[in-house]
Amino acid sequence: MLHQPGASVGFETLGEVIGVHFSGENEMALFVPGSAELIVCGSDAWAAVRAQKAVPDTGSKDPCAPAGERRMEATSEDGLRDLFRTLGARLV
Amino acid sequence: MAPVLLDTLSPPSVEESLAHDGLGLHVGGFKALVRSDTGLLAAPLRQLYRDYACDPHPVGFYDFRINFMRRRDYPWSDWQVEFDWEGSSPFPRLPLAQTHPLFEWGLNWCVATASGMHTVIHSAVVERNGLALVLPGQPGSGKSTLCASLTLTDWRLLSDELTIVSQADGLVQPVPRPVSLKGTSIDIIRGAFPHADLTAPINATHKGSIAYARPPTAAVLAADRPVPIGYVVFPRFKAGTELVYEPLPRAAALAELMENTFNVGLLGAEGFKSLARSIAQAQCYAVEYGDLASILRWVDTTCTPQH
Repeated sequence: MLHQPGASVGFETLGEVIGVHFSGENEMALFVPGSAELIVCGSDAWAAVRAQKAVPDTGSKDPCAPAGERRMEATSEDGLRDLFRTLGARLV
Repeated sequence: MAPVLLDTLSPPSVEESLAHDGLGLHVGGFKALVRSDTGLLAAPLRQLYRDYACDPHPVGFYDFRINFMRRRDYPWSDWQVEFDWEGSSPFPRLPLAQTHPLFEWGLNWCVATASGMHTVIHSAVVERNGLALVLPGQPGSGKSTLCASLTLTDWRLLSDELTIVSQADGLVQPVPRPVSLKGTSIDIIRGAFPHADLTAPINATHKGSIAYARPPTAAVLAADRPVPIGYVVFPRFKAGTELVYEPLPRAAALAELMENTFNVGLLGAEGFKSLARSIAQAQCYAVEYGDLASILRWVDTTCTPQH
């Protein structure tokens, strides 16, 4: 999939989670500052989570996670919410 | 005293500077003051850094003051070389014969550490037509061999090890340095580019045999020209395979890039956004290849602006 010239990038936030969306693509990259964690998910899952209420802060962040463990993928709304819980991300 | 080209200094004067007050070396936007009493650094520096500006005598401010001194624990022990940066030694002592590789590894460490205000990605990066081609990859991916090959054709070397992306404007900051070649890649490059200026291999390092290719003069002289990222290619070498490639969504490429980012834990929100913006216009691919010729043809065809 070649991107189109003049492609843009947009950012959305949910609490401390930052999502980036590149025009013409269906995937989002989500970043949790302070944790060095990354999540790749579908735009639909992200939109569904954003439309819900906050996920409680239940975990702790580990900024020293090895590089190979940083990237995670979520294929559904529930999977994304589970990842946020694991990362202890505050969504409000 | 104004800086001079290292090429204009005689071997004894380079050795004299290193052994006493230090040789100031201007590398990209950095200035390093280098000292060494091993007697094994002057020759490789004169060969590989001949196009770089230097200070035969220290003058003014230096970003790094680094020493490569010989040490031994007992009179009967073999001499070793120790890297020291402002009193700290992040690397273990090495056999004296590895003085030059230790210099290159030490300078990588210094540049990566001093670039903390930027995003530092473990990858090679080259430029053509005003666009950077970023080549992240784990050891064994073939990125250094590919980088050396590209810079010996019509691509400008920006760096063979560290892609430094400015958080302010998303441009890649060049820090051209000698390209390291390991193991079989040394003979591959010698065979494909018989006129390349390579050092003699140093064997038995923790990375195996290692040699260095002198960066093209034009790349050194253009170190003050940053460029935007046009392509991100994740190479994977697998001997004997046909080349296959897959376009990557930029979200996935961004995630892979961050896995290769040294200072990802320090990035913060603005650093993440800056890195995302820096690849907004880029074409991203994963490529698996089995021989150098096929990947060079693919890069030449694919990493060219569409007209």
